[in-house]
Amino acid sequence: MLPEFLLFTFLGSFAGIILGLIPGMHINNILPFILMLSFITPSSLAVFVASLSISQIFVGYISSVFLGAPNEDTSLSVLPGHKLLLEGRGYEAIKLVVFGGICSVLLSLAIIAIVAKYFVYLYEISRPYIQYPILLVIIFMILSEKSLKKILLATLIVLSSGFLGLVVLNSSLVSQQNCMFPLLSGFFGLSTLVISIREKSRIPKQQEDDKINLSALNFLKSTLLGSLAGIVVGFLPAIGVSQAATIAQYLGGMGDPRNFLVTLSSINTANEVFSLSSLYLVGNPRSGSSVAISRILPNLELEEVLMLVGSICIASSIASLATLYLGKRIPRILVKVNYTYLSLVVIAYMTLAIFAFTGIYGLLIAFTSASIGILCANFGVRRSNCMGCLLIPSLLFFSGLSPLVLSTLKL
Amino acid sequence: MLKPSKFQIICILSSIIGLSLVYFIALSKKPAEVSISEVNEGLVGRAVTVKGFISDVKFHKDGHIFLTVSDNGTKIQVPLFSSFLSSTKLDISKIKVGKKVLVSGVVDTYRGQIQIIPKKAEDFKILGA
Repeated sequence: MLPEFLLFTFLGSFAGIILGLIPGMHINNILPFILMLSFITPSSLAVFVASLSISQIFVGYISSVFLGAPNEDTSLSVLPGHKLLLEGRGYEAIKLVVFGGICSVLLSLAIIAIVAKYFVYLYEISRPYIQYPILLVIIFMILSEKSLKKILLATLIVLSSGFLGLVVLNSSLVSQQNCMFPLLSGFFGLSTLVISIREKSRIPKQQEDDKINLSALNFLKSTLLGSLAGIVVGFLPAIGVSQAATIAQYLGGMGDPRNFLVTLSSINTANEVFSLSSLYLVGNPRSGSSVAISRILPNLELEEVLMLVGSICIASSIASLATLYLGKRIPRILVKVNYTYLSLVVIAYMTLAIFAFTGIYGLLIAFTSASIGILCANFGVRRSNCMGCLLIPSLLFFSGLSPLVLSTLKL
Repeated sequence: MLKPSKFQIICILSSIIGLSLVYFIALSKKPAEVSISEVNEGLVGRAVTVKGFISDVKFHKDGHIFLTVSDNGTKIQVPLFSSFLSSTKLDISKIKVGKKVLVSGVVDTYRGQIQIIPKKAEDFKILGA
């Protein structure tokens, strides 16, 4: 039993590392194929999925930070990651997300063990009030622009992004499982690459020191906030990792790129840990991988949950080491490459990936969101205003206005 | 390289054209049809269409009808609120256990159960036995 468990944990970690390295790829894209592996015993397959899902989150930051080609979980790391990359601190960005992620695995497991039985009540209690923090974030986001002109332009960006998000999330233009991929890749990935080409950005020589320019207290604060937010995302339907990260950024004072990277990474890993744990605790699958595990192991026992938790811890450690190793080696190659050509290749690859997973309508969505993302840079307003694409639909949903707005728009 | 002003105009135009195209194409498409087993908490807040058989009907004293729609052993709750029933003039006598239905609406949860809430007449169609 133990050798089989270790074997599938290692295989899952390895597969996660490969998957994470492919720009734009997400575990949801390959789950249908994994579920076909019926010759593997259910418990081993579940261990494989859990290890794969956690390790691809860690390694996924490599393509997001160095290439500006994120998947839907890492899209918000493009902006702070790219900023640090252009300062020669790309490896530090990788260290921040790795350390944030690994601490969050442990912290979120501890939090889940303490407050597990209250999750159902937490959802029932908080549900009527969720629209207020979302509304506050939107207001903060817009008002944090420095002048009246920029406030008006930011409002325009938030509303345009919100409209696009609302239409995409409530239509069958692309499958609901993949609809975030073209939307977020356009806003944060493709737009960053186009701006880099236009500004003729070059990757400077990267510093490989072990220094992290974030105090221990700030790191701890970001990890704790991220872990809590990741768990909250787990039991609050209609609030995703990106919305939670934006809320933490504005309401938790995590606007600094380093703080934000740690917070985002903590949210991502805590959410994945919670999604898998909640299968046993609440019986509701939330993430793509937890849906897959619920199909592989329909009646999850405590022993199996502990086995999955064990595989998550081992896989996180393997993926952390791999991410740190690759995070140091890859920039050495990238600084030798013409960044404009590299950006063009990544744009072409992302366009193909979006077309392959979401078809021609996915390309149209990515084109539109990229145009709005580039407009932010043109207007001189923050690109985080594009998070209106998820915040506006969530606000309408929780305030009960969704049906009215959708019927007005005839959607 | 284009001057910033021209580049800005191109970006504004492509945003407007893109938003308009996305919206008008979306108008001609119904919410994505998914199987009931695929509807989980990850889809809460999004519009979907499901097909299934009515496996339970509960009439509420306030005029609401609470349906359980099943397909291949998986179930989902479909509340038809009195406001929906009166606005759509739906023939209630046709709502019976065993009828095949097509339901569109936004996915939500109520007391831990996943539900789809139809809002317009075309969101709830009885397809037959």
